Amino acid sequence: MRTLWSSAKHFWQIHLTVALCTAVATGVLAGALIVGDSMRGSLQDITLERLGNIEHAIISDRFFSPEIISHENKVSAILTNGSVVVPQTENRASTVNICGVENSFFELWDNGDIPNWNQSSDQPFADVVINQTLQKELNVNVGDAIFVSFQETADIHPEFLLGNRDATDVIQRIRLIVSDIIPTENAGRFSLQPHQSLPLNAYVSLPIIQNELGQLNKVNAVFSTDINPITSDSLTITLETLGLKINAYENYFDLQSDQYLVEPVLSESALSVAQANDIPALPTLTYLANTISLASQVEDNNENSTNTIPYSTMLAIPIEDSVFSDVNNSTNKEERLGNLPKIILNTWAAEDLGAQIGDKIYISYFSVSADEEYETENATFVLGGIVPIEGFWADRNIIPTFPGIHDTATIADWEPPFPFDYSIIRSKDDDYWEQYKATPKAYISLEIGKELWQNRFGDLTTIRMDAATDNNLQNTRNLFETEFLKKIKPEQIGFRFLSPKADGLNASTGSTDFGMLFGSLSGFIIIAVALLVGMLFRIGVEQRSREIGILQAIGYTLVKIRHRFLIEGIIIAGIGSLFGCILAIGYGQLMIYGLKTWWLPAIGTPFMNLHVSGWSLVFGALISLLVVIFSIIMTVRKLGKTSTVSLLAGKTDFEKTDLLIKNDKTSTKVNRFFFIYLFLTGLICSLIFSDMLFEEDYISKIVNIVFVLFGISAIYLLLYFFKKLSEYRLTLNVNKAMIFLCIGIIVGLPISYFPLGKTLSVKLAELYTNPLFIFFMLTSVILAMGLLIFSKWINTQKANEKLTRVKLSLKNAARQPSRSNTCVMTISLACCIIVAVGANRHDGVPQTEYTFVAESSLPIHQNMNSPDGRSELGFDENDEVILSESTVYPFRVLPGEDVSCLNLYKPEKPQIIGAPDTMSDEMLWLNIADENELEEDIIRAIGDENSLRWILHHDPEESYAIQDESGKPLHLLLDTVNNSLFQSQLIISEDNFKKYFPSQSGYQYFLIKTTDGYQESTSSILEKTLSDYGFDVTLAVDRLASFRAVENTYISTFQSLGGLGVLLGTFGLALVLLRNIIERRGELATLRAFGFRRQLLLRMLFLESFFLLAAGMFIGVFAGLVGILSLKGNLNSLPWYSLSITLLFIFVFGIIANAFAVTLALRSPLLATLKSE
Amino acid sequence: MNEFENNPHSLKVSQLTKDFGTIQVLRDISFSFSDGTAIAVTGPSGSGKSTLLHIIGTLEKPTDGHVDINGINPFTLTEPELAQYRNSAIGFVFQDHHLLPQYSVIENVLIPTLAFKQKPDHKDQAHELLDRVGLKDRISHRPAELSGGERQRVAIARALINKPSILLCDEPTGNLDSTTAGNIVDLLFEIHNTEENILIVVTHNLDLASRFDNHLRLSDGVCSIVNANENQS
Repeated sequence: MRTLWSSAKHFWQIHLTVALCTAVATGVLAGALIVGDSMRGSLQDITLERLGNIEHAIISDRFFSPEIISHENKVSAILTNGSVVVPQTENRASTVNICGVENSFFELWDNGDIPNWNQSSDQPFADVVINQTLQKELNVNVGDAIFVSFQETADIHPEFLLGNRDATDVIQRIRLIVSDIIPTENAGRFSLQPHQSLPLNAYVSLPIIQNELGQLNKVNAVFSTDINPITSDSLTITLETLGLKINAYENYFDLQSDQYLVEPVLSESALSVAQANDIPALPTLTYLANTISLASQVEDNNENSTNTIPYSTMLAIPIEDSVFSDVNNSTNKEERLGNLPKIILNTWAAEDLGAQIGDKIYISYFSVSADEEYETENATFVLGGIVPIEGFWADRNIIPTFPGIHDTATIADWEPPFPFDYSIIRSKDDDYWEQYKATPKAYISLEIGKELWQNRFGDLTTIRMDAATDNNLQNTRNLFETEFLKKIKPEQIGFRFLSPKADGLNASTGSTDFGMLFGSLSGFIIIAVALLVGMLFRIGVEQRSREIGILQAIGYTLVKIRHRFLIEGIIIAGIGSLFGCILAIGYGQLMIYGLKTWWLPAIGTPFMNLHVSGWSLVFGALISLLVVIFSIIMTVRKLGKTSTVSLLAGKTDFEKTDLLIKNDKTSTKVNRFFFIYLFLTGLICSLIFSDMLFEEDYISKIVNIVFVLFGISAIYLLLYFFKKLSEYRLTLNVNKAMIFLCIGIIVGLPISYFPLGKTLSVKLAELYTNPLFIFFMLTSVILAMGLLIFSKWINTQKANEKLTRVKLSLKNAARQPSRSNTCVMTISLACCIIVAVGANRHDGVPQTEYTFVAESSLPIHQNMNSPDGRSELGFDENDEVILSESTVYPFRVLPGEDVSCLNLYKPEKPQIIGAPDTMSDEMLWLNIADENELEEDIIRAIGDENSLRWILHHDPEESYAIQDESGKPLHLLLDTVNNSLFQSQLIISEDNFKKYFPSQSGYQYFLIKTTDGYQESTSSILEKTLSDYGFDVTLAVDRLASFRAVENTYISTFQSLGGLGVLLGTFGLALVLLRNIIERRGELATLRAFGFRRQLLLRMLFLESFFLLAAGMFIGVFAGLVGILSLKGNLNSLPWYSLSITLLFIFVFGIIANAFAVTLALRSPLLATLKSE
Repeated sequence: MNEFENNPHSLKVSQLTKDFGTIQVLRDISFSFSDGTAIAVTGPSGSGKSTLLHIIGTLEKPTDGHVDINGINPFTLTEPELAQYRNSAIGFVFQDHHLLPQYSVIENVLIPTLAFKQKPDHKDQAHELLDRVGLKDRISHRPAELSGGERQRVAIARALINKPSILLCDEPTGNLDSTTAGNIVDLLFEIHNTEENILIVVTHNLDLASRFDNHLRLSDGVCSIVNANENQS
């Protein structure tokens, strides 16, 4: 131990450098892991902060009474999205979380204070509490008034015929007074959405928002602090919850919906329950006909005839049922009129039209088109029966409530949401209304009714049920209600049971593992450090050659000496790695500082704090220690190749012995290695190409065999070339090697026919065709070849009789081949990585054909491309002139998590958007509407490749599973786009969107194309006029730039770390130079003696280091460029500017470092070394 | 060609003194030699033999006194001039040959010709010199592949490539066995006789010294000249 201490003291410089290098390796690796810890820890902190004690939650698309949840410690709320406008300043904020809460909500946080709700008691307006983030956005103070807009609730879906789509009906706008501003922490940071950005929150008293929404005592969210999850069992679903009601009558009862149409999931369940319990059920569908007339009149263009019945209720019933057998048999002209469907008119209508059985009846009705316009459709029937207005045919109860129509005294009082022509109402129509109200005038078969009027919101309006066999009506009703409610799963009707804390903590692992990211980015630094330590230790051992010689001379065995050096190295590296742990914390802190400042775009919000895990330190220290120890072992192993006498003489040049001795043993070893390597290569190639070799087609077979033979000969030539290159060091038996290659191929072929071999063959073929694999293989091969050629050049310098100063300088690089090779290897590796990574950087302004990307907090139903639609949205004539220069592409949006690199949390439920059909003309890639050859639960979708691969961690080749609105699994068959505007979401077709997410209404995501010169005005008009919708317009190039900024920041981070690696490589180069010069003092002194001036020596030495730097950079850059060429197919998109700057920086830095080393080394007097005394 | 090359060969040292701190290594040394003179410098270790050689070779400056080589006091020259002067007028052979291991034999010989740009092509001269030192067949070999004697022959060829007027040898046979050493000395004399330059050899070997016409013996920094007869005794 004492001797170790003495040697440590004596050779302190070299030991200190080794320890420092180990410390750097530990610092970098453990520091990278600490960055990962900090990212995870900080995201967890945010999760805990934004959720307080909330463990579980129920969120629902529909409002419900909190009483239906039998769970303790629950807090109810209404959560909705909206926008806020300050009337005085017109400052706006969109995507605001509007929370209708009570004080108990704030008590969900341990240290959460109850905000002041009573600031404005003297005001007629209610209070609102906002968080600081929203306050900054709006620039308001306590006491200021703000307008809060949010979506109005409506029983009937806005996109249904009877739904309201007008802004005044869809948007609720209330004036509130800011009573308190709370910090954006704890309750002030509340959000169920896992995202690192600060939310814009407005808190309104729950009763006020309930009142405004017309949902008294109802909520749409319930939170629980109980550790036990809220399950569907704790939810008691009622008919009211489902928006259903049962109207009981003397002989039957009707199931109807507040939404007019009974949702498909509910109607299907009701019918199946009825069937299962022998309850006779009559499903019906009511619709409104705009006109009913005789087809003959229409054909005569006599539409305005008095014999046209306007605005009539029609009922679709299972007319084929035996209960309607009377009317069913009364047709006698059906065959004569072809296969027209039957219609039954009541006597009033038949008389009014003068229609007789067998006449063709024409009806017109409204439907809602894809772009939410009313379109008049028509259908022709044959009159199959005329029924008196009595009994079932006089029952108006079967018709559900028509909003704006049902309770009116006369037709003139109707206020329907659709276009209504009062001029065609006749007095007899009013008489009918007065006497029969909405009693249907016409009946068609349910099958035809569904065909004409079915939509995504449902295909039945009333299910009429009679008493079950052997049961009375009341019992039947009770039985039905019980069984029906039992059958409905809350998840089917839009209830979501969340465990936000657990999910949030899980998502905190992050979409990107920053620990692994920085760790892998630091991998290069670790390699550089390992090479450097190996080199340093080697220099250290060389310095002590006499000591080794003496130890050998006095009887120490080589093993003992190696052991001694190894222990010494381990102790030094151990001390270094301990110090490295401290360095790691500093490095981690520096990286976090970097992420909060220089690289902020990578994380979006400067939220990160240092979190240090002991495991990270231990892991980092151990790995770097192992790498360094391995490096030391490899160096110490070389001891013994030099004779004791040489060592005693201070001759330590391992290089020379390596260089000069053609060691048969080494040669045999290398040959053996090559034989095994080539055998395996043959085996793998055989497995990969086995399918190709056994093609059915005879010509293909021959071509493939020729291809394989060509490959073998290429390998032969390569080996021959390699042998030529390496002849100075080893004797490679090329012929034997080729035999081993062929054996490998022959052995591989039968293996590929066994199941395991086949699997292996498929996997290898996949790997073989993976562009990244090809990239890595290609760059590795080029790097290896480049280094081999350099090594060959270094080792086989021929005598040059035309010696020049430049040649003299370059040859100096061959003075210590191993050191020069190490330097070139480190630099080339660094440059290759920097080029490969830097090639992905996007310089310049991103290009997109769209001018704007817009998002609205509330859905917009109007067609923004039509003057009518724009007028409905409130744009005036001046706006119209400007907006007519734009084309808007609206997308439907299913709320979900951002899957772009802007979200650091690991997304579980991606945002889905429905692309309109018009986009398929715009985007040739948009073939998502093509449903050919797809199974029922599989639809096409498009996602950004980077988002899928790196954020969702999903292989785009495989389908992505989501759930539709009723909780059924849906598989997305993915196509990918690159660097598009759609990095935050997955795209499906609008038709599929409406099919699988029927309750989502309107459009919330827009792409806008605007003529040049109108951009500023368009953006301003849209944001101002649609402020209640929270319409937020962003330049499309800015959106792309924000995505690119993240990518570019990652690249910058990588390049910074790569730069650090280059720094170490350059440091190594300078060290090599310094060491070489010190060793060559005698030689340099000789040159001085022969008249070489100091300046000339400086220049020569500098040229030597320049050569090593340039050679390393050239090999690395070349390998990187070829790799990129293989990956991208061209170098057009290469960011030459930034890449050149980076490489130039590396080059200049290397030159400066080398110049410094040369100057430092030549400062001490050289000539003293020449004296013999 | 340069201004230092065509002067007649002469060496004049007068009242030369060299101090290293408080230690005086050389004291008041004076001598003078001309063309064709071969001088052996002997003396015990630390007597200042190498220092004297280095001063004559202009590698070190004297503390006091004068050195006149070919009529020029080199220490009055500027650093670049001195380097050029040394390059053309002085050849060195060291005990440790100081050949550059990464270069071949011929490259090592040619190295001094690269110190200044105006030098003509010396390839033929290098070949001729290597022929003279008996290494014609080893021109492509590296120093590590040569024996000690061969290395020293290369060093001699290198020292002569610029046709120096003074050839300074510092213990040229110090690391060699007696036979090889004898061969080297023979070679030195042979070349000296042909070139007619001034040959100064520092050596411990009195037998070797006895072969020189002139013999400078250094002791305690003082120089005494011993004649040939005395040498023989």
